[in-house]
Amino acid sequence: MIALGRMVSGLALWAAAFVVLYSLHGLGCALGWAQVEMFGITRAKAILLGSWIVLIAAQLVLLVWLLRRRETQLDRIGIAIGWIGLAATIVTGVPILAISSCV
Amino acid sequence: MKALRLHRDLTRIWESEPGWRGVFSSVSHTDLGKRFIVAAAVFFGIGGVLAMLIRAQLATPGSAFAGPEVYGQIFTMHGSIMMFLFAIPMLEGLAIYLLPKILGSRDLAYPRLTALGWWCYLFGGTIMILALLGGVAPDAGWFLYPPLSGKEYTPGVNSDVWLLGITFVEISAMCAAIEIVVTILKFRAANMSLTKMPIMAWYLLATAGMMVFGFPPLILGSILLEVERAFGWPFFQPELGGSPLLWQHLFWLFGHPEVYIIFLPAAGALSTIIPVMSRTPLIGYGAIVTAVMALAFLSFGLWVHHMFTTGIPHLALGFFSAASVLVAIPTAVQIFAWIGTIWAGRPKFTLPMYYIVGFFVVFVLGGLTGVMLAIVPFDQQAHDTAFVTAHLHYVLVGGFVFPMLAAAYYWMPHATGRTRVMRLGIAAFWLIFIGFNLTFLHMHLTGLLGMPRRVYTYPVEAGWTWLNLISSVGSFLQAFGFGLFAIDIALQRRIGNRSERDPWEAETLEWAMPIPPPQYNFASLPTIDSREPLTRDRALGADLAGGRGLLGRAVGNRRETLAVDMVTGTPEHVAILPGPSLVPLVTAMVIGGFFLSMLLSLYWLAPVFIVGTAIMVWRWAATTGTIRDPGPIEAGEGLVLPTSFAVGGSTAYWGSVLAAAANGTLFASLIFGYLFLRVVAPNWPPPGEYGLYLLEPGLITIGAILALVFARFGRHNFVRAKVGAVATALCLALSAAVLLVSGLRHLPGPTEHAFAAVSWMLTGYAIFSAMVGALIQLFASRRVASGHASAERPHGLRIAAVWSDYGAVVAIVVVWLLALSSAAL
Repeated sequence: MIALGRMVSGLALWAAAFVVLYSLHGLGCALGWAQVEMFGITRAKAILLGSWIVLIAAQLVLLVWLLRRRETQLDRIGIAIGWIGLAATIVTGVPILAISSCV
Repeated sequence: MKALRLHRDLTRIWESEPGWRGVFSSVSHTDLGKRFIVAAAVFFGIGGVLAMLIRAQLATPGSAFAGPEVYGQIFTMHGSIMMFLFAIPMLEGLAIYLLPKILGSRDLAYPRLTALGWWCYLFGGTIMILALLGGVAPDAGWFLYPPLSGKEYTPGVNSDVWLLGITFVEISAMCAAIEIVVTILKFRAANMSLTKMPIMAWYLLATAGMMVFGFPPLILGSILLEVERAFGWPFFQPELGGSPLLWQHLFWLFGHPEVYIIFLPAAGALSTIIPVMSRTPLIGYGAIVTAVMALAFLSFGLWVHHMFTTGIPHLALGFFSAASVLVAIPTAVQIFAWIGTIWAGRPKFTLPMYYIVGFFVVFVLGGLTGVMLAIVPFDQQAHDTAFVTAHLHYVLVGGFVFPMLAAAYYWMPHATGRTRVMRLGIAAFWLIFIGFNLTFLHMHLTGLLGMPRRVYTYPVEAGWTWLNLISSVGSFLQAFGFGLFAIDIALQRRIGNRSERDPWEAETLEWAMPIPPPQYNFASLPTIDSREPLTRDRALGADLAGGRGLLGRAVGNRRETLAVDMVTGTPEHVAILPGPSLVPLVTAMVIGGFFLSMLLSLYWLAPVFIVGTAIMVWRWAATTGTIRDPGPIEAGEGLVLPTSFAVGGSTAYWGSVLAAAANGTLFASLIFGYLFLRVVAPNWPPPGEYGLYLLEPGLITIGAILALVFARFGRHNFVRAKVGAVATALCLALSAAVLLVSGLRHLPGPTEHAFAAVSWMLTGYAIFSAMVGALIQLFASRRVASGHASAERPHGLRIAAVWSDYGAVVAIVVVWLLALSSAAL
């Protein structure tokens, strides 16, 4: 079971990242973060950007950990899934850069 | 001679009971799998007739064929039947029939659960069809959006039929999901590591995993909407702090993964059939497994693309739009792997290949329009038009029906032991293929010209007349095609010639058994050293039939199969499976009693059936296990293995873990619902005075922690096990009582505001979970007393701990969530 969990960990972390970003977005809009400025942008955007960067960093750390073991095909599939998790975390967060947070 | 004797002995052990009793008590995965498939096909026929009625109505403008009320029932039932009574049960049936055979096992992990799932499906589906015949079928669309489906706009039982009937059927889906996961992970051939599994098993593992986490949100949504309709708890009423959007979230949290739940098993069939028909190994096994896992996860991040026009902020739409586009990539990886396999091989253009080519054309078109709809501005133009109707049919018919038709022809010789008799299948294919495209290709244009979905008529001036007429003609062509297909299959079943054992020269284990398959599948179980065992050893089937594998003997009436390590496939223990039983049927009838009493508004009667269900489950569990330690078993080839009674990581334990995970998803969805309403819904905060309270949370926390501790009492010293189980049950029961008192003291009536409604729902769920944990711990204490649980056979206590731990954790989370959120109001 641990080996299976390791194999899908990249996508599991993407799922967690997705939930975090979507939840923070909903919460931020409800709490009025889009009306407060922070570092020259809205607080909502700043928090979402910061969270996105942390989540990408977490995916990178996970990927490095996965890359340390590549003995079996299951390990190699896990590494591929780690790359997918990283790419998916980057792509699904890109709208933060371009779209207003709470409109 | 040995082979014949072994066959007779194993048939005696594994066959269903004779006569009518056998019909009701069978737990054979082969029988039940076939029943699922046949019933799903019958429901497909009913859904197809409804589709013909839709097309008859829309063939001309201003048609007097059906009025809006009847038409509402027709299109709602068409969608509901196709999704819930055809597609999901068909994939379940395929998995139930096929899994043990491709994995080299004799049965599924929980034979009686398979039977329970079958009866729940049959009864739930029957309720739906009877409602249709009675003119009270659901009529608010297959996704039953409130407020249209609420009491105000649908005062009759129509919506209740959907909510209760579909939930009843979903019990079957949850049973199948847990069963499939555990079977794939534990019931494989010796040495069949995960990466030596047939590719179909990976697809089914991903599908079943998705079902475990995908179905609970819809089950929760159905419970909430039914409670709103029955008792007036305003979850979806904005004027009282609810929101109809909550239903949409819960529905599509299930609904979008559902598309992939339907597609993946069909894709598994394609990945199995294409290499066989191309006479070459599948290209990119590892890449396909990766793609399947990617689909399984990514598909949970798309649900809001069904809600692009609901006014959700643009950034949130951006998240879901990006994920919706991403999901096309793993799908494309599979498409290219299949094309590459055909390219690299020497394809035989047999009948399954016709349908596979049909799949490529239809599904790729559906996928491309899916990418179009994933783009927010386009979706906002095409939303709720016939364009979406065309898209979803290209995806679902292309991605499920065409592959299933290929699968039907591919595995029919296996199920019947017979070959096809005529060339009707080719004619059926062309009628279906041409008819389908004639119906739906230009329906994209109909949609882009502005025709909305679900309208019962349209004016001549709209300019959609000829487009609709062509669609209707095409749909009837399709119907003739499906009719011919049904005749072809029936003829093969009745008068086809005997087929040889492996007519396609396939390489997976299901072809290493006599066809049609005996109830025990394999007279002895294989040991695997490659992904294509029959390529390495064409005589494998004969060897296994001769008993030259593992467990190649019959012992008393014991139904034995092999359980292995989840990852490596190393033999771990011998699972002893239960035989025929009426308990699943009676349990399903009692559960059905609950649903019927709710449907008929006999609410006072419903608790009787809940108690009845608990009694049946208790009785069910009481018939398992043993009071003797059977000791290790000689399994053959020098292997000596313990039985399932003696090992902690038994299949029952893993089934409980998965059931708890599904339960946890439902709980998480409920918390999501609470937070969603609190953040998004209008008319918050609720009227009244609220504040922090600590007494009850403190008491419940102490009680729940004690339950967690007592549940571990017998772990190191079995003498204390019984005391620990009773004490755990007591702590949980007291926690449940305090939860009730806390609700009565601090919460307003559940009909006053959505806050109260959700809070009461959370409280009720926590009480229910704690009581389930308490009951199971009481059961465990009885098992210790009766000798069924012992220091050598402790897994019953481990299973009980899963449920009591769950109840304890839920109680703590709920009471603190409510206390703290009450303070923040």
